[in-house]
Amino acid sequence: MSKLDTRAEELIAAASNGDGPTPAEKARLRATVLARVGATAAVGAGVAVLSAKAKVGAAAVSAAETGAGVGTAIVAKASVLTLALKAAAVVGVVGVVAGIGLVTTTYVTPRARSSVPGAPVPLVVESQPHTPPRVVDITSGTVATPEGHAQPVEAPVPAAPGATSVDPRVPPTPSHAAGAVSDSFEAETAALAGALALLRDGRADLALASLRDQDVRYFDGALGEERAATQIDALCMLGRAADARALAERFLVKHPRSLLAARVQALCSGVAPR
Amino acid sequence: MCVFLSLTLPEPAITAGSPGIARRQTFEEVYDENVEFVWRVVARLGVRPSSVEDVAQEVFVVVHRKLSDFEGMSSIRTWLYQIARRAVLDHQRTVRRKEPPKEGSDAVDVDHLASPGEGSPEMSAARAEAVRLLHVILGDMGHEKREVFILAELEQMPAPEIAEAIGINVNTVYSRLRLARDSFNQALARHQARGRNRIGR
Repeated sequence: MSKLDTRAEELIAAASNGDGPTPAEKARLRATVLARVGATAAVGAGVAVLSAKAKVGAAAVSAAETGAGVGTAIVAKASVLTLALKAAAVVGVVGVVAGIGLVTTTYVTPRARSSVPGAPVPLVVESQPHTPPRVVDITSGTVATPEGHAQPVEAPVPAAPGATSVDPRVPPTPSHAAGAVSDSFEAETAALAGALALLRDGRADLALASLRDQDVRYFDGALGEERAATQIDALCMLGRAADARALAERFLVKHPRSLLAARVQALCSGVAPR
Repeated sequence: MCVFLSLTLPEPAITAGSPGIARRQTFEEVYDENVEFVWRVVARLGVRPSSVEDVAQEVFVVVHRKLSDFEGMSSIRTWLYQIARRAVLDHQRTVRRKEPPKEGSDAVDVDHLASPGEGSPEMSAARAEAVRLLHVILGDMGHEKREVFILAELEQMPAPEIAEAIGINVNTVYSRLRLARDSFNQALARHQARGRNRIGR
């Protein structure tokens, strides 16, 4: 077996790991991948829920009152990242935009998927509000539900981009100019700040409604984790300790290493169940 | 009230560890432990620096989808390499279809190639130059020799694993590795001779 020359070995040693990703590239790639697989999950959940819509019926609307949306919660996985990575998530959102279009066209329904050997097994989960699948046309900048995906009954959805909040009492989240891709990081941040301001003002019911509206609006956003924590806060303020604890438990399962985990655990301590 | 939802997060992978001990790894663990490996492999297999991140992204999306299928019969890196290799070939096919090769189009983009890393500017420059030369030489090597060389010499993968990753027998691995080493030695000697000539002029 021929060997490498000493010079060749030196070159390899000198180049060693020099062509790997930078920390920023790793963070960006991670955010983009998680956002993309999260988008897949959201579309999957949307289609699955639609297929089960006949069974679920209108009762799901009341079930939707508890907790964060499934799709949103899964998409929020992208925000397992630390706050320092939120800026990278802006790039990830672009990945989500592209990813949604892709998975919408290639999605295999859970039933079909389960017939594939080795395919993931369907899970049975409690019905919760979910985020509707959306298609973003980057060229025109429009956002719409895809064909065949009627607005689901489980979660209220704005009728059109730029629509006001689904709850008339809730101050609308920052408006989205017609024709613009609405899910910008800045708008999402401003909306969350608005909900926090409501909470500080003691208007927890409005804050909660706004946060749920944001979960729908920014289902592929970077601040899902922060929204969930704020929802728990709002539920505690409303005295809905059981709902808050249930949401907190789900949060800690999904984000065990979250920077907000300790805060979430501490929330609602001392709140008497209503 | 229940609805059926597809399994959205992959089952953890079983990784081959100590004999008789199989440990399940989550997607995030697989990502954290192997992102650099995947990135390097994609870059060294000849994907342009500006596209490495995109291809690595495709690799990890597939990994996420198929992680539950990974049974731990081989090393996780062998499995990841197979996915990366396919993603690179797909990417190169797409690029060829869209942009027929032009003269100089395979030139190595030094600015994108090497990560700055740690150390002084001089060290960074030396590392960047070493990376550039490494990629130039790999780029001149045929694909078959190149992938064996990358896995054996740069990633220190044992021959049986390489055989499995590429789908060839071990003897062929050794044979290709011998040719790849010869090719690398000769190419480096040529580049260094060219460099000396340039300086001596």
